[in-house]
Amino acid sequence: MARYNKYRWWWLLLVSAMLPNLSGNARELEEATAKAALAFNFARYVEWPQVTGQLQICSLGGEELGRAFAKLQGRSIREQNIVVHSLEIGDPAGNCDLLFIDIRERSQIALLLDQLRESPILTIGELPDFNDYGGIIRLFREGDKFRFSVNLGVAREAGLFISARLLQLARQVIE
Amino acid sequence: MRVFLMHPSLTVALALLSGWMLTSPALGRDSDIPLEMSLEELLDIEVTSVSKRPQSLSDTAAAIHVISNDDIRHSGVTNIPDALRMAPGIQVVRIDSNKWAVTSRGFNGRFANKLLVLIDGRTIYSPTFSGVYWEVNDLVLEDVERIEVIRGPGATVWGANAVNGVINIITKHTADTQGSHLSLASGSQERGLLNARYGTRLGEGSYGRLSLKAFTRDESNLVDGGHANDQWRGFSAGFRLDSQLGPADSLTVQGDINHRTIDQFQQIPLLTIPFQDRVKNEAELDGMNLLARWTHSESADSVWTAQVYLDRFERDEYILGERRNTLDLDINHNFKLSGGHEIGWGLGYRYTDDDFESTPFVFASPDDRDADLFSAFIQDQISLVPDTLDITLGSKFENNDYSGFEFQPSIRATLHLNEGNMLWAAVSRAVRTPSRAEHDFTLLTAVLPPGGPVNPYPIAVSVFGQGSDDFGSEKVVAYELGYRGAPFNDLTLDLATFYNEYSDLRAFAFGIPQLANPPAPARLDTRFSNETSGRTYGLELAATWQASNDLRLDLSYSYTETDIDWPNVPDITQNTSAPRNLVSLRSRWRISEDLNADAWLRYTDEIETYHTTEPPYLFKIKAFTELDLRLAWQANKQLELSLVGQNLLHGHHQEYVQEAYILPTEVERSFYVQAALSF
Repeated sequence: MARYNKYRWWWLLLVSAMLPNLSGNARELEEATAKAALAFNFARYVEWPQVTGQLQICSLGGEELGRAFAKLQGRSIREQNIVVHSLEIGDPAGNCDLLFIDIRERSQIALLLDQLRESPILTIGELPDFNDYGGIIRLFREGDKFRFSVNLGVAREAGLFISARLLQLARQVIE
Repeated sequence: MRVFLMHPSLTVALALLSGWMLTSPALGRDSDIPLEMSLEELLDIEVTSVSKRPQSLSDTAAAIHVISNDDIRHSGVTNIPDALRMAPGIQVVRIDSNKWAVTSRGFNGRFANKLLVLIDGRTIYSPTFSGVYWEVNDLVLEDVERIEVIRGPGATVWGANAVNGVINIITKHTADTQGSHLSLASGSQERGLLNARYGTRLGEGSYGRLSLKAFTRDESNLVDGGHANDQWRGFSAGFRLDSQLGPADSLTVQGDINHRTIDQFQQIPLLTIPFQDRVKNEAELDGMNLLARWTHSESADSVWTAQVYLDRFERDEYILGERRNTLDLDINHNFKLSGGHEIGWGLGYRYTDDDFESTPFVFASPDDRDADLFSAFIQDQISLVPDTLDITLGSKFENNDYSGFEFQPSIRATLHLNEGNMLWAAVSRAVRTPSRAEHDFTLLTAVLPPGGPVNPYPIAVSVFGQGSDDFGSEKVVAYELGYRGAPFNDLTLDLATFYNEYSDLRAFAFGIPQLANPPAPARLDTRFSNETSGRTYGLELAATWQASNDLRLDLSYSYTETDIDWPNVPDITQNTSAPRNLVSLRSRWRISEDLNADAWLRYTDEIETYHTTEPPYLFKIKAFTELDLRLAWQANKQLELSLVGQNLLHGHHQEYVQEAYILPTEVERSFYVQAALSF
């Protein structure tokens, strides 16, 4: 019996470790998947000045992000078929309709956003100062959940129309 | 016999555990994107992050390991050197409450001279004795973004003294430290620890922060009993500003001012009877620095960086007083050329002037000196087979006032096997340039009383270490081969092997003893000379297993063999050889949304070190295993409470003995509680 008591602690630890897993899985998403899902949803609430039948969605980041975005290929939003592109730093981004920027190099992001300014591209990124550089949607975390802010002034310059529903959900709207 | 059988409950638990891990949804990385979810639903969902290697580092042809801010937080460490215990191949031992010996791939000592350390591009490697004063260079750990630990020569880019490794401590961009953060801790060894930070947006693209750290740490115990009188206390205050001047230009200005008091209990050699004495004293250490860095991106493929810093350092110690000013200028340019070339080049200049207050124990001649260091580097990364085979060729060229011209070339290659798996190889040369002490100091190392185990003669003998202008650089040629990748979905592996061939290593050449009138001791001079050669080889492994969303395991292991051809007396300022085996195993377990439990098990193999005045002179430090535990509770969005236990397996254990002056001490089991408030 003495030995049993010795191991009982491990038992309790292991069982308690499993509890949150058995109950709470449905409400969890892996980061890259969540980002791709968010990008898809943002695109539903944005209207581009020209409709071509195709929506070019670009991701600039690691392999994992690229894999998650690749799953959007072939889907459609308002009868526009999604075409996915995985970019690397330095690749031209002028033909994207939506560009998700998930790299760490600030100077590269600032430069890229400056080049894309006034182009009808919905830029999404995670830097705290993303909106400062002319990025349109900045994602950030509150605890384990995503939040976002919108730079509406830049969106207007770019000729993008962002629906009121999206703006309502934003934590902050910068004019 | 029951001993060999697993208890039924444990068997069941293990079966459940393995079943849970195999079926856990975290492992299904290829999960579909829930396109049916609305934006509202997405914003309400919990997002989990799997550990990622920074993209820019995963392609590097070097043994590189990154300690992230998260790693530091979960480890419960309160200072930089203890954080370095997480990296493979790095030997960290505590000398006493306020001193460490930290090295990479062998040659450890209070002044481990083959490891270069930089904080945000500013060197903290002291040219006085060639080493790092870890007790001075301690930051607000919450401000550290990551610590890049590179084993093996990094001299081609970072310059001299990056012989066995480079550590880059990188602090966060100010946009990432917005708001206020306050943490308070108190415990049995960490008597008081305060960290405070305030970050704010100053304008469009401009952010700033102020940080403050204050602490007081209790003394430890001497190995032979009694108090070690090695309390450590101090404060630092720092600021950083980041400003995006335009789309292509950004500016960072940062600086800090710090003060430390270290108490010491030193064994001091005396030239009169009783030839040595134990002295309690207090050393005052002050530093300040100011750095500005400007980055200009001509395009995504061409980036210029210019950096300038000023550093002032003062150290008032019983055995020596030191003042040092350093000015450093650096320009770097990285650009791409057609044909798959990525070129980096840079120019640097460093000026340092010092001023020493000599004592009978440490005598500097001249007592003040300035020194210039000119440097240039160029390297070309050539993509031979795009996305598959890269070769990088380069060299650093330096001219310093102590050993003159030095060149430090390297050739590195990476081979990408498939997505996420790569092999790398490197051959490089690096030098450790002479310190000010090795050229200009006379050090009273020991006075050996008559008739002791090391001095059979009837008269006392004083031993002096004598600097010499002839002392040159120590050199290494290193051969490295490594693999990095993710053989399975949730397992990342990093394996590095090395063979280092050293020449002109430091040794001591003995002069002829000069007799004096007893009881005045005879004098024996030893001169620094480059007489030794040797080799080390070994392997290092780092593995991370994301067992589930809630459980992550990090293992690091290193094996090192040391084979040095010492002439007659080894370099007593260092381990005779590296610890053969080093292990660190960490687990990070999210028990629930607001409860985390972390465990950290470490093993350090036995070593031998010398002490010049304390019998038995050669100390065998036993292998030790230690455990840290941390339990953290996120009480609400603002407040986190944590309880940390350090070195829990033993009441006390010895990790090291410094080569002189400092008496052998022990590291004690300790606890602290911390409250961290973010608002």
